[in-house]
Amino acid sequence: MSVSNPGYAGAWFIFLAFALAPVSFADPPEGWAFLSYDEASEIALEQDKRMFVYFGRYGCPTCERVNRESFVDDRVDAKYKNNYVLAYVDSESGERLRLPTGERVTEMELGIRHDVVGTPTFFFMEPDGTTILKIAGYVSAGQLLGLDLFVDGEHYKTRTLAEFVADES
Amino acid sequence: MIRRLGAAFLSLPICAWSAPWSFDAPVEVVDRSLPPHFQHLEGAGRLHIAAGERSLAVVWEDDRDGSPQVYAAVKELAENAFEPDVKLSTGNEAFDPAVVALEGNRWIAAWEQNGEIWGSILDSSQVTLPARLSGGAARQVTLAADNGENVHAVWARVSNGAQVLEVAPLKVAANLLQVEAPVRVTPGADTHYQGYPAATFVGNGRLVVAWEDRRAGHTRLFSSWRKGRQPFSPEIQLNEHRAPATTDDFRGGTGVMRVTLARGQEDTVQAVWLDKRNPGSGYAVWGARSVDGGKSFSSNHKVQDELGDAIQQWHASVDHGRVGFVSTWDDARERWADESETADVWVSWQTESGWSGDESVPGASGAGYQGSPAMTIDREGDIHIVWIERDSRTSPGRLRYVRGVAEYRYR
Repeated sequence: MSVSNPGYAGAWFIFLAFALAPVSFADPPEGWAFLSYDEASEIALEQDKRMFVYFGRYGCPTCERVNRESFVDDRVDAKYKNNYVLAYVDSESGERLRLPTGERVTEMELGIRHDVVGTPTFFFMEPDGTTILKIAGYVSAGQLLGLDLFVDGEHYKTRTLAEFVADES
Repeated sequence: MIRRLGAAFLSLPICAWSAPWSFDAPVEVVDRSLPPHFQHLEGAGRLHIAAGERSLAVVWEDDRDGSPQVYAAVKELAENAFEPDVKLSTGNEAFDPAVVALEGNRWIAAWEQNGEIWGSILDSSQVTLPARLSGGAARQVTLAADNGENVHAVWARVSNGAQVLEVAPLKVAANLLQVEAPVRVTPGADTHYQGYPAATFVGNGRLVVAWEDRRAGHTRLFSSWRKGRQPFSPEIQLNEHRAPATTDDFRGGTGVMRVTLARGQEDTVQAVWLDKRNPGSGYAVWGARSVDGGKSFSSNHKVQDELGDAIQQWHASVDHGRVGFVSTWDDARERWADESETADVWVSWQTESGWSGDESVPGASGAGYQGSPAMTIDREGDIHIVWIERDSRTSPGRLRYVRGVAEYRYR
């Protein structure tokens, strides 16, 4: 993936404006082994690996669109399955999780604590759960690849996403 | 702060509102030293506090002993301190308690324990041994009491990954809690998801139930009713589902959850829930009212005021008192002015034109997190609110309580 993809820079404006597409569908994308948040947190700590957390909602059309259009891209598949521990959270669900503090909370409550407004909302997190980047709304495959470059390339340690996009465009 | 600024600059009707209660100083529900731990007021119908003739009971879950367990505390209505709390649950883990008042300052509590529904009777001095209420795996229990006597439990039975609602009458016999055979609320196969029920009795022993349903590929709210032991009526949809404005084949809906119900005068019923029909601002408090005992409901109306529109609301519930229907919830609208205000408790009440402007609850607002409220109104019209207070949204917290004395009683 290259950040010089045609149409790539323009697509970032969607991110930076946090334009939330009309909400929402769904479960995690088919063929992806998304874990529950607590399972993913445990593995992330054990393996010292970053997390990619997908906050979706049952019935979220934009989530379904992202699943069908973006997560089917082979390059996204390779990068995200290799670089992150993947977690999926249904932000309306009463399923319970155990947080690293030991607290038991529902998936809905986890969404509240992360200020999830629209779905999908994606978080890149450090292995200890610290948020690196929060992105809300529709993301294309190209955008997912760009975000991976920003996070896995550790550019977030020296630049904001906006600076990164400006530099790479 | 934002609320006050908004009220000053905009000539909105909220300028005229003044809460019809005078609030006491808030107190801790558990007034003794415990190691830092996490409390939760979560459950179907948000029935975490119930007022009897002279006393009220609060039920919650916390992990003070290292595992989530359900506790209760009782206080005299007129006093501002709780009796020592008692542990209700007896299993490895317990969650999502509900409580309703019986005649004679007693209460029935129910909760999820080890994946089943359990319940017990409590009064100001003792708790009966818990009884298992569900015949198998179940969760998300709520309760309804008719004049403090006729009590029904409603829960979601779990079967092969699906959930279906069941209703079971409860009986108090020789100070023991007994359960009759449960019945389904809706007919059909056990293949989809019904959850988070709310229930209330109206006149003539009619039970109204509302719930979340996911069979359509997104969540919708439905309601149904039955009189006595007759079969439930055909379900009707409560929320006005707005299909997304797409022309492709992406299915879905705008998101609704956690419906609560309250009975008003005569055959009036108010439903209140969280509704994401305006996606840019997240969930808001919406409702619908029935004037025919739950046989039909009005078109949906927004409960919160305009100053809450740009931010999302959580943990909404409804009850009824002398001022009419009253709703509480939490939101972080004042975080715009102060980043430390991660949630405050808000209240709105029925007016001639709809719902009042929103008022923050004294003692349940300000820096830090004050959220997840539950509320009841006693026979005198006083409002009783419990909530979770934390320094931050992720820190251990405290369970707090405040009473608002009805305006007519202090004028």
